[in-house]
Amino acid sequence: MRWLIPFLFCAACVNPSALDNNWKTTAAMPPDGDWRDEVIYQLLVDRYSNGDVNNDFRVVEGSLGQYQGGDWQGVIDHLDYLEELGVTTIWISPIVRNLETDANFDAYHGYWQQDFTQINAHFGNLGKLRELVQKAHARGLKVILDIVTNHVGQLFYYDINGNGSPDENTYGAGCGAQPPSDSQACPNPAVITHITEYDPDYDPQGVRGYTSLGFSGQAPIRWIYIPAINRAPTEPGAGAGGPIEKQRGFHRDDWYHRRGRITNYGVREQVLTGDFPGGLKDLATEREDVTAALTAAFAHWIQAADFDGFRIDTLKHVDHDFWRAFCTKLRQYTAGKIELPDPLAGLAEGLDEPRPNAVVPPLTVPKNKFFMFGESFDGNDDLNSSYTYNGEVDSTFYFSQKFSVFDEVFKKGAPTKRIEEQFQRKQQKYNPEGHPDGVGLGARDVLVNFMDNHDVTRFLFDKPSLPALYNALAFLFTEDGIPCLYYGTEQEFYGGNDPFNRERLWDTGFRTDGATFSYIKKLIKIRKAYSPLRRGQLVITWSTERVGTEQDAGMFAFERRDAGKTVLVVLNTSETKTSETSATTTGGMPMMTSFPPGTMLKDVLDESGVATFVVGAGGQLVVSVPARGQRILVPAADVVALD
Amino acid sequence: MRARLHLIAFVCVVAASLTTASRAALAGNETARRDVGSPPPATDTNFGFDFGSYGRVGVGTDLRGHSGYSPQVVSHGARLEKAPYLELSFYYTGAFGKDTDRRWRIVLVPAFAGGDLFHYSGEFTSHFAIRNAYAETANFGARGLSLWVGSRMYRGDDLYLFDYWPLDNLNTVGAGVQYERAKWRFQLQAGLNRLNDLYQYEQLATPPRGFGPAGTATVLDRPRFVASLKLTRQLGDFPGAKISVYSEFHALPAGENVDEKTRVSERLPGDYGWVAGAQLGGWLRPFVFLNLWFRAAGGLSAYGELGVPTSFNRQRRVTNALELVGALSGNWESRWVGVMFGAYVRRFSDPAPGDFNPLSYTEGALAVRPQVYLSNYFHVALEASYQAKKADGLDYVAGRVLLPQVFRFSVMPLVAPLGRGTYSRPSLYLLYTVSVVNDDARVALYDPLDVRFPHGTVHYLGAGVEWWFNSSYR
Repeated sequence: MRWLIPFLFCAACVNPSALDNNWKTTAAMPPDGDWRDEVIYQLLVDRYSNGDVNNDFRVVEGSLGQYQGGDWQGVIDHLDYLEELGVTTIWISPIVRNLETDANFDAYHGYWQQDFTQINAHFGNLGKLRELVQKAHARGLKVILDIVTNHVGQLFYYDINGNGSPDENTYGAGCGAQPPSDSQACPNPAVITHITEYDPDYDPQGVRGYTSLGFSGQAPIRWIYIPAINRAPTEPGAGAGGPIEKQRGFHRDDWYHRRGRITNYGVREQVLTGDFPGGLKDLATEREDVTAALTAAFAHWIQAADFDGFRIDTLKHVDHDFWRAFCTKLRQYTAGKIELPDPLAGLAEGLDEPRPNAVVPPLTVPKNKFFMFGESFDGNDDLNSSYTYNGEVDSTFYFSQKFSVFDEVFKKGAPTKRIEEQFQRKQQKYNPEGHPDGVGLGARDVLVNFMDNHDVTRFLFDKPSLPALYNALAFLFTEDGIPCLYYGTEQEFYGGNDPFNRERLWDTGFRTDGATFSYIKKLIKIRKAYSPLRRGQLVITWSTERVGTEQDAGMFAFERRDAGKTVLVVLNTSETKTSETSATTTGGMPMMTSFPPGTMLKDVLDESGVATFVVGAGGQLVVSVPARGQRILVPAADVVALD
Repeated sequence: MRARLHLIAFVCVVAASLTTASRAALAGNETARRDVGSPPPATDTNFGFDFGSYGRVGVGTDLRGHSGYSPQVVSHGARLEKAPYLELSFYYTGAFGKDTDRRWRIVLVPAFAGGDLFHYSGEFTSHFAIRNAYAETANFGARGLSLWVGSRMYRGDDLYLFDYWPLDNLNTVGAGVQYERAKWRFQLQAGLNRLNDLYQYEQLATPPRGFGPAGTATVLDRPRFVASLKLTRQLGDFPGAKISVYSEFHALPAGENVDEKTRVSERLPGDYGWVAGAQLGGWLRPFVFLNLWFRAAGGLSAYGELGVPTSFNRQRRVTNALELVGALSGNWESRWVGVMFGAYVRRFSDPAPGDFNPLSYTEGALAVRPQVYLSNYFHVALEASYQAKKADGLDYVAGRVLLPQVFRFSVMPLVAPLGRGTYSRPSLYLLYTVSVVNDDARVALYDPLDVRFPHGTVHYLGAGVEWWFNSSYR
């Protein structure tokens, strides 16, 4: 009786929309596109803008550890703000359903997933997500999705004492040194052992059952059923808590490492197999079935919402084999070269067994250069760079630079020689070659540079100095790689550690006339206007060990060279001293550049427009920069008007 | 509670002995003169105590070892397997002095709903409410003038097959006036409600005065004002017709919610709503009629007077919510066959911002129930119906636009002690229904864990009874 439908629903006879059953994905990045041209803006959806009050459940105004009400409608409402700033790519926080709350903190950030297949309704519905991506694309903005493959939320506990309820147990009397041991007052001077079944310490043998009588084999896991706060077995799956032979998908006990919380980040085995602090249960990603399920789950979201890339959480907590398989498959899928099996299809709809031979729906149009970059929260380049080879991620966040350059040099005043040393490490360690079906560039060229993010204090918290911030920003937007700006930097946010570095952007009124907003906007315009600043080879022309009152104290300079054009960037990281790119007073030489003698260089950052420098004989150039200043020098003949 | 039930049972017995039988025989004439959804006029009940009732009780199985159930994907679906519901209508009528033309009457109608019959659940509890508790006068002040004050159902004609009043169906505490003259009827009503919901009412605990229990502060108290106006013109008797125009106005003042934990207040702006509608009814003879309705409701009114909005526009109001309804209902009788039929289409637009809102939808249903009178008292009814609903946006769980649909077919042999007629009650019946639900309906209605989820074909086998006399129904 389908013929009745038009009769009955003529009142709703709108054409089927592009956002619903006729949804189509797009290529977004052109075939000759280059991710080095992008400027990434990281935003936490819950903190960007509250566009729809109807999803404001559990919102506690001003309590930053809980939902604040930001949503995808809010992002849509203020895409113009991002366009005004000049960013070209937005990285949004995770979208899948999370457990609502744990230990009085809410999962507003999205990293406590409970269901890989469903939307987090706090932010909207799938239609709204599609609308966001579609409207972002219409403005030339690409959209990166934050994903987590390492862990799920605090969804089960370890029944260590076997009593079927989640306990926090204390063993031992602990009356050791004070008061002094006394056989009567302290018959059992053992230390106190505190065990929480939600988040026990790491055990390489797996969390074991334990009572005051001793150990007793592997502790069973028990799923926590509080549906009202989305505390239920991870989906998709079936048979949670039942016999192992009936467990399917993410309900399988053996899909988790079950070793307890990482206590020593220096031990790789713990980092790879331990639960993330907060009781976030670690997935056994070395299993092929887990890999296949995660690959399909996230491929589904590319198809469902047309994302242009993934930012991958907790990269270093997952094994290389997983990344090799995951990233390779996704590249092939997004390039339209393979069908991707969906091994858990149907479980989310209540089937006891997955639907056989199911595949992830193919993309309407293959993606060009789907970009995957990961977060390896570590200062060790050997570790971080290891993920950029063998078909693994296209890039990583440049954490080592964040620590050694942005923190040490720009905040604390360490010598700029550290920048050069870091640069050399990058050249040596990171993959110079791109992956098949990848972004066409090696990780070395597309590392994602950042000063701060949601997991560290904001720049201004540690260094409440706008000149220092501007100094660092100038470096961020002129160095090689892809700059990534944490939301709120443009509004001079200065929050400390989580959750205080996750402020509500809408409280600023989205003002675009502030000095820092204008400064970043200008830096981005300059970057866009001059291809060397995006794609150019970086050659350091000046760095120094000197940080005091010396002639070149705090100076750092580098050229960016691309297609016959060169731009020279000169930074002074000294807090107090005007310095210059020369060491003649200490028996050294002026800076040597690649510019022909007589070239007039204009500082395109200079508002007055009069700062110019002329290259001397042999390419010598002495550039004077005030304390915490910066210059972006372009040959006068190459200067273009900024849009 | 038990004492109250005993008292009611006693009163029922007494009232039943005082009530004349065969009220239903008069129902035909009354259908023409009064809206079916209101109690019989004060001029039609006996002086002193009188009694009426509406009731339905039924039980069934799905032939799969579970309780019988009826999958419904629309707001007003087929009614054959509805949960038990009972109204006891008590009237006490008197005259103004010796003038029996001028009457006053008390109407008290407690009701029990929710399906929790003690004999089924084993729990000696019931959901109890007062459906009518008002006093009215007839012909006082002027002939044809009626006044009422109290709490009452205030309704027009229904679409019986779906237990639905498409145009006017108010539950109100207030007052009203009705004036009838020369085939015109004018009805005006005004009332207030204050739903027990944070949308309209909030109390917070406050520190005790000195020692003792915590105090309370009423931080939100905003009753909704509801007023309605209906004008009806009757054209002829049998055959005849009537045309009614109807309107409502709702108003809700501004207020503030206060968060219990943080004591931060959130402003709730004032809001309003409106209804405009009309009915065209025609009848050839008793129980042979056709009604057409059209209703448009905006703002608060789109949710009904007892509805709490679940989503809002950017100004935290529902002014752009919209409901549109078109409906028809009819009945035809002959000596051997009667046919009931009905259909409606309803459109609801949610006020939340953005297109493709899954809370906005269009729904509809149609049903026909022919009834064959095999003898005076033994009949067989068949009913076929179809219902469907289409949301504007993607379903949260399924991630696609759903089109839930249900096809139903019922067979109902019945005994009607008062004789032939599709509206003849009481009616004692056996019932078999087969419902075919599509996949979208299963996804929309049930969690995958639910025992009802896997079944695309749903059976119902059961028995039931429905009665009404001297009540708000007939």
